[in-house]
Amino acid sequence: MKKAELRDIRKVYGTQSSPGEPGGSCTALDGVSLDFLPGEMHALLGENGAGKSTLVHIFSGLNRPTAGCVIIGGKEHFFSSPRDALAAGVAMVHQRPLLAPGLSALDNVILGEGGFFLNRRKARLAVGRIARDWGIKLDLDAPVAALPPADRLRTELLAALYSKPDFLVLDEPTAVLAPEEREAFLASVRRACSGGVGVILITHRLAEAARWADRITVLRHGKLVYSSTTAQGPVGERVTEDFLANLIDPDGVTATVATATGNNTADTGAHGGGIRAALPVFAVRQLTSKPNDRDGIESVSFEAYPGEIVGIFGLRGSGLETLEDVITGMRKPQSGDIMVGTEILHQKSITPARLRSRGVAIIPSDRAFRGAHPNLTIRDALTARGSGTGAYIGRPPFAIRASVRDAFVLGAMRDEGIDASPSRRMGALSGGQVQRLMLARELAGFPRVIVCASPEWGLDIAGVSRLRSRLTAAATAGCAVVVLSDDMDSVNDRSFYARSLILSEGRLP
Amino acid sequence: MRKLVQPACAFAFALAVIVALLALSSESPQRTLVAFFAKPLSSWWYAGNLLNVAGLLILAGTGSAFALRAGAFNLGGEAQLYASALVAAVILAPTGGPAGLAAEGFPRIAFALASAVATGALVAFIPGVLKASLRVSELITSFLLSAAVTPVLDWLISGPLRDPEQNLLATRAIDPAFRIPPIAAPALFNASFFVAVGIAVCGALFLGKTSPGYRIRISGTAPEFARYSGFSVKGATIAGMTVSGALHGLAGFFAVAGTWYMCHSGLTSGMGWGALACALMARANPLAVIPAAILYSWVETATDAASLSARFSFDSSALVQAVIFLVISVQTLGIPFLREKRRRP
Repeated sequence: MKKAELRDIRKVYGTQSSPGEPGGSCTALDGVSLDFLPGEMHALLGENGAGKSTLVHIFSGLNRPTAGCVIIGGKEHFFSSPRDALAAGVAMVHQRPLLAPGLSALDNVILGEGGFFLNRRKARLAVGRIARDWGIKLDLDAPVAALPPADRLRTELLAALYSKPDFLVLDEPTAVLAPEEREAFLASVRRACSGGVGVILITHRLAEAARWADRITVLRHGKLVYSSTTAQGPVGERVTEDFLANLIDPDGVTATVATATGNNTADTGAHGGGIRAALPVFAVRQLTSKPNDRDGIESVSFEAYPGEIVGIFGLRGSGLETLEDVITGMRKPQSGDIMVGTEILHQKSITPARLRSRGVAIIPSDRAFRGAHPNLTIRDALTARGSGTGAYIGRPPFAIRASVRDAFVLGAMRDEGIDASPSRRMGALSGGQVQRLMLARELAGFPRVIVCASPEWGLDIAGVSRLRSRLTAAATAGCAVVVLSDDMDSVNDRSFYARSLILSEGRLP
Repeated sequence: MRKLVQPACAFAFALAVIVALLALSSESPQRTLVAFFAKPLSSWWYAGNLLNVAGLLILAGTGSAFALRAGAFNLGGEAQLYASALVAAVILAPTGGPAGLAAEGFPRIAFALASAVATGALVAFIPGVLKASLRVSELITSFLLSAAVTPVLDWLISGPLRDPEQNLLATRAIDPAFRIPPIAAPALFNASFFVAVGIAVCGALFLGKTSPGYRIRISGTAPEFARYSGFSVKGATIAGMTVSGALHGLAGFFAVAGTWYMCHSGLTSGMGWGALACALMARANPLAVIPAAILYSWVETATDAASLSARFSFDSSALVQAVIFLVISVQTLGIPFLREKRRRP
């Protein structure tokens, strides 16, 4: 059984200077040394931007360290690509799955298989067996482009497992799984560990880590602050959620947030729960969409009033992904319309451009490629909204007012605590940082309606708190907020949602 | 600086291969290499013609860069240049041209220029629309359309539009009044070079500093994000291809009005592909297309000079393009031997 050792890993991102913008550097990892043991589930915890993803990207060959090395089975490795890491027995399932969209799920899984002849039938049987063992439900023939984010993650997980790795890195896998799937998934991870696989699990769910992991490591600001077995906490007892929360965020924000995000069934100031405006600002009427490649929706109608936060909850297979695509204009419905203010958008006229021009802000569940793009600079990703509304257009006609745009970009980055050059690629930011910038961009347009899909995916507790307070402030200012979520635990969270609706088999009550 | 490494490597590798081939196939390698490096700058005739061809490449290369930035590959540059050149030659012919085009002077030049630009734009617009509306790959349609249009143009030049008084497979020479005069004879270097540089600069400003340019860039880099942001990705594709064709058309106009003064069979001789090579070397940055085109033109001129010195026929443009395409493709595909090697910390 091989052991993996990460020795004194440092990662410094440097930025080149440009006119009006000094260059600089940002230390993502500051001398982290860590061991991953075979047959052990090792949870990696920390706030968004703590360096967790950077560390596992280095371990899996996606990034190269500025200093330090990876030792597996006593052999020193300097991975220059994920293929090198795979050859050394390290496979990774990314938070933002890296798949070929035009190929089927099966083809993505078996992509890169060695050998001269490809026996698809045999490969399909092998993949099916892995899927059964792990309890992964996936249509192997569906093109990846048509799969919702959760199924894309399942595809990448299958691909990682198909390579029979010694070490499997899972970057927030449970964030996109439905609650009832999480337990079964973690149980199958446990089984894999007992078979000798070393699993590195990044998660923001502290209870999950405390319950399932054998060993827990906490990173803060790029430094290792804690690493020990779960069974041996600070006083020789099993570590608790509170202990971990304190390690991650010693300033105490977490503690207060934990209370705020709990299931508070009393109606304590839910937004819009009191006096409701006379007319809805966003109304969905009789929307029907039945795509071939995923679960559809039928005659879905709901309304959102100014100042209220409406939650629409659904399990996997309820049609939540289709509802997101339709009400954000990314998929044309077969029938129905959407009313924004007093304007009605009929079936074919529901497009992102029309929704946006009528004051609808959208935060999609697919942050990696829809809400942003890894190859875009932060500046370009943040400019989109202003460019769409004409906020940065000055004289001569069509010219972008660089000073106004740059002031917004730098201000948003400062407010969100992102210390980087605006020329940095979005792909270099953590999932939480991307989400924060997306929200800042969308709120900057002073929208009348905000549609967010699974906005809490991948956020740490402080991140969830920040997100909720932003959305609450927007609602208080008169905005209607529609949140689509698969987190059924929050259905009765009246401290945040004014109303909760449950989507079941494509229908709302 | 880091951005320049890959294209500079591609160019240097292409240069090395060409020099090696020339030297190996010559009876007197020393004389051939001296001709290769010294001839292009040995006289104004060489240097002026080099810059003149570079001007045409800058125009068409900026066009190719526009398509690339919009997320499309315009492989039909040859036919767009060729068709536009033919249209310009016909309109500017001294006695003929279709009825109703007898107007002289500036209006006729303006009409010829507009027609050439529109012709190039139309030939590129079709693959753009097919990609946007039917999702047919523009790689196939632009190439096939070009392959279909070229023989038709050849037939027109060798048949109905051929100058009966000459033995050339060419149209009538354009009226001397419409020719763009060389700035310093005998080289053909003329004002079109400065127009080309101006258009490349304007193209860079458009893409980098304006809202429509931003939308085209974003649509090319991140189509899903662009659509979600409310941009018309289809519109950007069509616009990118159409502008690309229009700039190839402009290059076709200047090729006739400033260089050949007629449209002969096979006029482009690979210039459309050369422009694409320049755009790829410039990583689709219109400003970088300017030095890329000058370097490309220099290598072509140098290879021609060396071939003459070595006394054998050498299709220099095809060789230059082939090597540059090969090296850029290899780098794009990430073939390991050309990838940056990891340094051990």
